[in-house]
Amino acid sequence: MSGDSVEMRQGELIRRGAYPEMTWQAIIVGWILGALIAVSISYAALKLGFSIEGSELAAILGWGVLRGLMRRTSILENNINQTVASAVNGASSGIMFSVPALFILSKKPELSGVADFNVPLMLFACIAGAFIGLAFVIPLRKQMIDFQRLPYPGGIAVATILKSPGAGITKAMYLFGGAIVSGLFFYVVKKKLGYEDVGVGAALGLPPRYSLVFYCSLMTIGVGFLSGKGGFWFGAGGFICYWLLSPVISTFGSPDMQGMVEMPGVMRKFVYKPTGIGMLIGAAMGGIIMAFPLIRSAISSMNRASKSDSASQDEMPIKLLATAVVMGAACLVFLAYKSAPGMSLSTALLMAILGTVWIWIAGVIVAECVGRTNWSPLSGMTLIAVTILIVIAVNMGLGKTETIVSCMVVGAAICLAISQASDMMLDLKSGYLVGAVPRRQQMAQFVGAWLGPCIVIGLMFLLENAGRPPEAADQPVAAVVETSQEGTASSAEQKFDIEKKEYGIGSDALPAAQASALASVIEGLVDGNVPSYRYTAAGGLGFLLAISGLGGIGVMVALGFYMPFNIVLTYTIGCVLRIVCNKTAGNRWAEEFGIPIAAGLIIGEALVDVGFTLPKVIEGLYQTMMM
Amino acid sequence: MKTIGQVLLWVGFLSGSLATVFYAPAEGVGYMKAMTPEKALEKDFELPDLQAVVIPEEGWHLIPWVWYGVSVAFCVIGIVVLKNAANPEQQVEQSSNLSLADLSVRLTQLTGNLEGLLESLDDLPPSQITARIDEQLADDFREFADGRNLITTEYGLDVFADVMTQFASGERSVNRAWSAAADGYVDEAEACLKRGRDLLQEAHRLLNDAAKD
Repeated sequence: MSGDSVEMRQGELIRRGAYPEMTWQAIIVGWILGALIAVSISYAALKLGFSIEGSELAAILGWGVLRGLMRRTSILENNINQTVASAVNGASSGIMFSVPALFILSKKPELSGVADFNVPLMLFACIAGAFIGLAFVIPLRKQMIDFQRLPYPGGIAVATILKSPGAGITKAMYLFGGAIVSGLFFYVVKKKLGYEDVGVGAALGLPPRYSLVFYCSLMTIGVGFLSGKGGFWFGAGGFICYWLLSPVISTFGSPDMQGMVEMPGVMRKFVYKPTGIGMLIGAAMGGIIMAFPLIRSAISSMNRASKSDSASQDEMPIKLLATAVVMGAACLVFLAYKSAPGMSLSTALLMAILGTVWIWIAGVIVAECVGRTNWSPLSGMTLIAVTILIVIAVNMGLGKTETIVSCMVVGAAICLAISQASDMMLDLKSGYLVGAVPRRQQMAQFVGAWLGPCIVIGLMFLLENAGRPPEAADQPVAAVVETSQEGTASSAEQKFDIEKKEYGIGSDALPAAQASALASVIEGLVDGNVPSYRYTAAGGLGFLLAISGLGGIGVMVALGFYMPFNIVLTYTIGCVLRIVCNKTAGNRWAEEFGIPIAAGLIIGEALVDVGFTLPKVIEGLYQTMMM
Repeated sequence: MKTIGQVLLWVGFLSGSLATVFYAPAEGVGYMKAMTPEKALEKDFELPDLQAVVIPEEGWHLIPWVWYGVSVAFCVIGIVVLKNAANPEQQVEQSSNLSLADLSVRLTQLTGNLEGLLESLDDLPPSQITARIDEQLADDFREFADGRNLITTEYGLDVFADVMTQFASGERSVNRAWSAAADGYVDEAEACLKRGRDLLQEAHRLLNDAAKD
């Protein structure tokens, strides 16, 4: 028991004494669970190409360990545990989608040197990046959670798990009922029957351009429900693409475009997704300009409160932000300067300044996207970061290898910063709902954030070198790779082929799809290829939507362009259900019962998915180590 | 005027979006032609996530800039018309039926209900404390939050920030009281309810001061 003394009141247990929150037990369990989750999810990211949000898993496991095994009795202690664990896990997507690109690029003889990067410097970059990201979101917490009250559907789900011990049997039944239904649906429909999508459009005889295909995921419906009518503009972005622009193009466009709109996947990849990225950047910049007075007021309010009342006791000091900006920029200058031989101080300075500005912009974009829809455009933001850095490095006359290494070191720091910023905002929303003190939660995030890079970079080297044949031990990586550019593939397909390594990251055993993609992007960027024209045009439109005064719709519409339409459609079902529930059963019902059910839908699918992934992770790790 | 502004904004945006996506990137066309229609319908053809955003050519000619510029002009005019025509109070009232007086009433009810809960706290088992918080406070918190933008409209961002800082801290403190009560920590629950009441009273005072000024 955690309380100092225990007594009974009307048949119920009451405890006297301090309410446990930031305890060593919570931190240590958070480290252990976070490390386990980070290893699993990092491996899954290399093997399967996707990442899983760790907060819900950490909350449930923490519930079992802290309450079940250790007999702890505090919701807030479990909240700290999940905050620490998800901070550790924040490194898995941040690093595994970026740094392995160096190993993959090293397969080319002319780039074999990129795998010989300075490992301690990379580790320092990742840890420093994580800390910079955490410091940058201090004023954003007040703006996005206290003032704008963004829904953060994932945060609501985690809070629902945390509160379930005290929420009463009925709500708990709704939560677990939703989880069971969602888990069973996922198991039967996706895993057993193999349905990823339901093509309603084809059944109705609609042309493929309408892309009327629903993603088979009750979790996505749950996320839409938690977003409610706030998610409307996200759906609108998707409908504008596939139900308005595509049909118009199919009637009035060039023959090439008329052909392309009938392949919605190609259309998305080559047209709508880059348009969405450009629009997101423009909308974010417009949003920052529009939100600037509010951010300034938030900072002023924090300053005023710190001098006068108790509300300020809960906040990290705002001076930390100013210190972090200066220290962060200084760290980035150091990282850039030391990352590659031949790097001039002026180039390092320029990379650091733009990198710092980008952390702020991308942090706002990702925090707002996660806050409104639960989806994070982290990969797109990483791409832009790397693009900015490569453009600077190339124009400042750095060599190819030096450009790639320096951009990946600084890019990894930026990617970690963005990843940690969005994770922290999500955790702070959960914390708000259970009554956690933000300052303690922010400290917990710092306590966890350093560990993730150590574990994930260690795992990355383990997997890269496990299975390396003894005769190859002394050879450069490029000498022991095989290429797959031979054969009969067309020239268009050849451009997209990834050369295969025989072992390690980038091999068939560990394809690292996201990092492979980034590697090919980096190659293209170094050669000067980037769709800047589409980013510019779309950015202008996003900017205008953001400054239109129709709060937040720029980012939402842009995200609708960016995301696959099947997900948008299923998400829209959830939004519509919430609106109908609010209208027919009332806000109270929707909050009392709809939210636990929706949270259950998210949890059930996530857990079953992890349940299927985990054996593959263990088996894969075992086989890789035995090779 | 507001409708005209909306129409101009959206006509400009949609037209600009069409201009942005109207012409095909050569790389995309090449990729499309390399595929059979059957393959295009398969899920496996999907490129890795980031790969397709790189189009290895200079594509500035793919955007019809005059068309795009006219569209942007429509958007800008629409935004100007919207800004001039918008009555901010009406905008807020569309999303919430509350007035400033209602916001004040919500805060009065919240502090009053918290006071009542604190008075009977010693007689309540923990499950009753959480139930009372859910039943007596949740609606007022939600309704005040729904109408919060009225404060910006009437008194400006600084007052909004100060009031919402106190309100949000008060709400979070009540949430903490709920968690503490659910875990049986009644002393912590009581302390948090008192702190929540004080913070909400401070929010109310700030709101009243702004009204006097």
